[in-house]
Amino acid sequence: MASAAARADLPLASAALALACLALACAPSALIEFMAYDRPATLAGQVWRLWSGHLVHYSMRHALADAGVLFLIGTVLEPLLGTWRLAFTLAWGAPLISLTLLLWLPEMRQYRGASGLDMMMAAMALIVLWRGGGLARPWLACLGGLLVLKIACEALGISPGFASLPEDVVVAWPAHLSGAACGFLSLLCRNRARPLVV
Amino acid sequence: MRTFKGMLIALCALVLAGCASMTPGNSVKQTASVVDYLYPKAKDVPVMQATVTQLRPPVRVGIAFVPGGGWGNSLTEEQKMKLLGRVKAAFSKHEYIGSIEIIPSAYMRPQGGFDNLDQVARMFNVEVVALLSYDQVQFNDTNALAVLYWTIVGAYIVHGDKYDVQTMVDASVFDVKSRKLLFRAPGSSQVKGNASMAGFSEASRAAQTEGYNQAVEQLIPQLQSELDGFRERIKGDASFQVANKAGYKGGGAADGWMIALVAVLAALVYGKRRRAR
Repeated sequence: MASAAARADLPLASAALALACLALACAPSALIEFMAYDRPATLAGQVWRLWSGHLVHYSMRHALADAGVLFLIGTVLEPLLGTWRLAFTLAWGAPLISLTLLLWLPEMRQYRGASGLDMMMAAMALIVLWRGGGLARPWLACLGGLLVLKIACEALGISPGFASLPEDVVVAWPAHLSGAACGFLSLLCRNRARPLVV
Repeated sequence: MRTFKGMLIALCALVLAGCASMTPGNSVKQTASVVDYLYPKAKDVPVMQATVTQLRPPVRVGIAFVPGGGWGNSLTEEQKMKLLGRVKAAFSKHEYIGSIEIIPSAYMRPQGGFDNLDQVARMFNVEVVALLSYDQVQFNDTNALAVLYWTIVGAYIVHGDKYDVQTMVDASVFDVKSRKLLFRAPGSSQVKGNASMAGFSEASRAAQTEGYNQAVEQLIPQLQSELDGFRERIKGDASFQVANKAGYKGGGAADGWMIALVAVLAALVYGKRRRAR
């Protein structure tokens, strides 16, 4: 029984995704380019890029930052939401984020990075915790406000200091915005979250 | 009578000469040189300034035929556009190429030089222009069957005229701002055939068009190869500087703010869990 509980607390989906991001950061550049979101290639029918673009990164530093955040937020969210539920939500959220880029940023040809998924999971974690009463709501409201402020700053071109992206790559803030929106949307139809086990 | 015979011989000689003159000349040449277009009436060797060529992907490319004499005789503007469309397809396969504009011949002034190229580049909003120059020579000869032209009917059904059309097409890609030749790719073809005297003109025109088609067909893979190689070649070349245009590459990155935010959230949750135990 104890082992089953422990297994439920393990963020398997998050760990797998984070590991995939790190492993792909070491992959040959041809494979990375094959998986990256590429607007013309996607429009030409290479639809897998809508999913796989979130797993590849521009550099190891970029992958480490994204994978680290993904795993950290996964340790909070996955035990509350369940592995399958999280995996299913990410599976439809990932292409939605890419489709947003396709529609919103026609001039952007390439996109890589898991931060859209990070943002989605962060938004989901805040909602689950809000509903489950696991944390004081003022804290959650404050963190939610900071999340919105961060996206607003990115939209205005204000950099927070530490940036993991190479110099010639711009932050695709619509990916963050759509990620957060997908996170909120995913839990709109869910009446109650699994209560937070503390 | 002697005078009459003399006049008859002279008439026959005139008719023979007339018939001989009906056959086309030995060779016909159509040419449009990129050197003549860019450096018209240049007496001195053009001096290149040692500048750094800045390329900002996705690069906006224009494609045009170099203006030259004689081209209009063999290809219509529509056919030219089709050929340029094939060259455009070769460019569009590369991610660092942005928009590609086909520039109609009417905008290219013969011997216009870089001034004309600058004007056209501004008009079509392109940074790099691929200029297609060409050199086509058509050799005309007759074969032994030409003797049957004397039957008059033979001039319509006997293929006594030969043509040999040799075509060379060259795509030279220039950066408009620095006026530097980035790379070039050639294509050539040879089209041979026979035709009757009556149908020679039409057949040779078709051969000229086919010659251009085949030359461009051969040029495309060469151009692809050059485009592939160019990207690698400039990586170690200090005279080129590549900086992406804003928004060309986007990334989703967890920055310091995001890391701090998630760390605080995780700390709060784990703190609560620990206190609850």
